[in-house]
Amino acid sequence: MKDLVISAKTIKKELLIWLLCFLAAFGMNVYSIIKFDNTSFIELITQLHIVVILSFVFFALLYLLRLIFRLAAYPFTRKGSKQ
Amino acid sequence: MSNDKKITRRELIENMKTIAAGGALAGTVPWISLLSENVPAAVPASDKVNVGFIGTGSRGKALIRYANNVPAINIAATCDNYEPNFKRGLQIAKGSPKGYKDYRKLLEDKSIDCVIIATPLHLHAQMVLDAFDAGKHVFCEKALTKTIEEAKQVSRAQKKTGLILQTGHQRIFDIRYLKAFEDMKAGKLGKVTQIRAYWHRNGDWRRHVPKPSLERKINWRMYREYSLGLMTELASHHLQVANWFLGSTPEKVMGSGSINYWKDGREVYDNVNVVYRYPGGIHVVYDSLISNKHYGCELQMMGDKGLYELELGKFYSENPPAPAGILRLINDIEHSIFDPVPIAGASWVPENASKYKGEYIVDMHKSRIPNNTLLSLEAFAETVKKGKPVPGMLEHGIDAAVAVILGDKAMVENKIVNFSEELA
Repeated sequence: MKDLVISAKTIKKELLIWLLCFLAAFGMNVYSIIKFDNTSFIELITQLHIVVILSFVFFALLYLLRLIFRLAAYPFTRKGSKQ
Repeated sequence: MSNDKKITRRELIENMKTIAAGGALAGTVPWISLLSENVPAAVPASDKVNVGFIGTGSRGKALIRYANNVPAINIAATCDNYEPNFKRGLQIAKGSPKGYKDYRKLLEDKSIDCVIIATPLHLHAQMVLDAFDAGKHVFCEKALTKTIEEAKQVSRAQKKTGLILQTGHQRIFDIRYLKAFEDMKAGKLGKVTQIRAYWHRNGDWRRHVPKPSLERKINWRMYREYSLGLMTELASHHLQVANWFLGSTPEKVMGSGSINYWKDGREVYDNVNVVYRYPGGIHVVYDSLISNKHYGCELQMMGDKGLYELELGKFYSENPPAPAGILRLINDIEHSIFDPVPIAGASWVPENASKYKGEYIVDMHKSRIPNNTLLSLEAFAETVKKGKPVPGMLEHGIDAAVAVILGDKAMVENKIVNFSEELA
């Protein structure tokens, strides 16, 4: 069985993407606290678990998009490699 | 379990003192003050009060079981004129009580300090009056009387003798009701406008009859000669709570009753709906039926700031704590993506029941909340020891009885019944 090798570059890239997702989710929390009544900035801490879950949801959605994009681009990249 | 029972008396006093410290209760629920103050005792604190049980049917037996766990009670005698109940009462009572088949003989027993009456409704008034004549304090199951005239007689007799009369309305000893009452007085519900109460069961409400000649004796709740059915046997509890919380008795009542399911020869309604009007236009809407039990038993007290569901022991604020902003934002996004286009305008909001789950009135695990029937017997024994009636206790029993009797009258006569006219 062939070993799967994930390069440090790939890990770094994925972590960076997740960090962006986390920042987006965190930004949403800040926005919601400002937008809605009866909220408090303490929710930046108390709702951190929701923010983390949301960041993973964004990451998964983004991964799905990237996968679709790669699959769609696959025939062109293979044709290009033959030439 | 045995530990729980041993600490109920202490819990009662301590919990009540804590609640009474709030202020509102001390003035409006005097039995709390009486129990915690040092009134010279008629019976030494170390002694038990000797209790005679009159009526050892299903409710009487339940009360004996509770009384077995009240340290201040000694069951000195039991009485029932139905042989199986007579035997069973003697069997389950702790100690070695004397057995009587005639309650008048029990009342002649000088060693008995007080009696607990749990007989069919039509017998209550005469038994209470006879007990007073014999100088005994009385705990009588609800409803206290079957007629208005009996209620007046009992009231006069209690005032004349100065003896203790407590009715089996155990909710007044329930720590959740007491806390709710105090909070309501402090304005937690805002302006109370309506109480909606109901008691639903699904069953014929009959007891097994070994031979046909015993039908009316055993199933006395089915016949008008002995009972007013759902009103006196169930509604009495909720009307007592309504009178207590609203600090008043009703002005008038209207209603409709029918026998529309259990057409088995019974004479009392199996389906009742009554509306009581209290001062200030407050309504108490009560219904009871025995052909569907989905909603069970509840008393909902509604004010402009909140609602109680007292049987559940819960409070629902009209302005519940808002969910976190991020959850509301996610919810909004979800609705904007998945909800169908609303057919009404943007300002339309569906008025479905709130999904807010409320909060418990007393923040205590259910198993730790003292049993209210046990507490009512504890309180009765303590007041007998002190030999001093609790102010207002008589009125709780009398007013609830009057309310259910006149509620039944409104249904039977199909008219609006005015309390002041009936009680004049």
